[in-house]
Amino acid sequence: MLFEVRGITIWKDGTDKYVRIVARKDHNNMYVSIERKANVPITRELIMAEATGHYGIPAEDIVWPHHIKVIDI
Amino acid sequence: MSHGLPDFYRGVDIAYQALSEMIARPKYGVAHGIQGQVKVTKNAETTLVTVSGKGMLYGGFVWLDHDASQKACRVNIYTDGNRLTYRMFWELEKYNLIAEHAPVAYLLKCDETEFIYCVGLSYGYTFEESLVVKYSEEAGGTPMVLCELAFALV
Repeated sequence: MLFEVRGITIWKDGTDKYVRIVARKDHNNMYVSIERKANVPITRELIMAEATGHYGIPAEDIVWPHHIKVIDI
Repeated sequence: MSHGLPDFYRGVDIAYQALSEMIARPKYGVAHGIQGQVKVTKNAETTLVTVSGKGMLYGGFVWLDHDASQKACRVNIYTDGNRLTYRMFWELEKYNLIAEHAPVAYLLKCDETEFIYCVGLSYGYTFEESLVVKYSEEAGGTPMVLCELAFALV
């Protein structure tokens, strides 16, 4: 199973912080996205854990392109 | 020994019109929208939204409705860490910078009576690593700044 992170968006709505992970899944041109409220520091590890938990994908199977960096706010 | 491509593998002869139809379209990837609001820090630059990835800004706007002047403040757009915007609200109004792309964050409203300010975000600015929208507060206030953003990720 392929899970390639294509984008991470972080924003605030009032006092809450939100994260959206956009990924290409299963060699498909259709992207999937996971959106969560997360009032904690956002890190790569946290995102990997969320992808693993949501899709059941082992961390070593998650592709993280070098140009993707977590820019927390 | 045979070599080369099989006989059934051939290129397309455009001049011969071998294809009945060919569609060329830009593929920008997935379109996304977000809306958010942040109570910004006075006399500082506050981040409203960060997008990490490769893509393009489709548009959006940033606005606020405060109880004191914010004319010396500005909305800053950064792509891949590079700042694209420089003008404060009063400059956008004074020089009538209301057209999209001139500048990147162009003026939609600057009301010094009601203290309502709004800029639009221009279409078409691509990024290879990140797109960040910030508000630079330079008037000693803490307004609630709102943002609506549309972008694509490839």
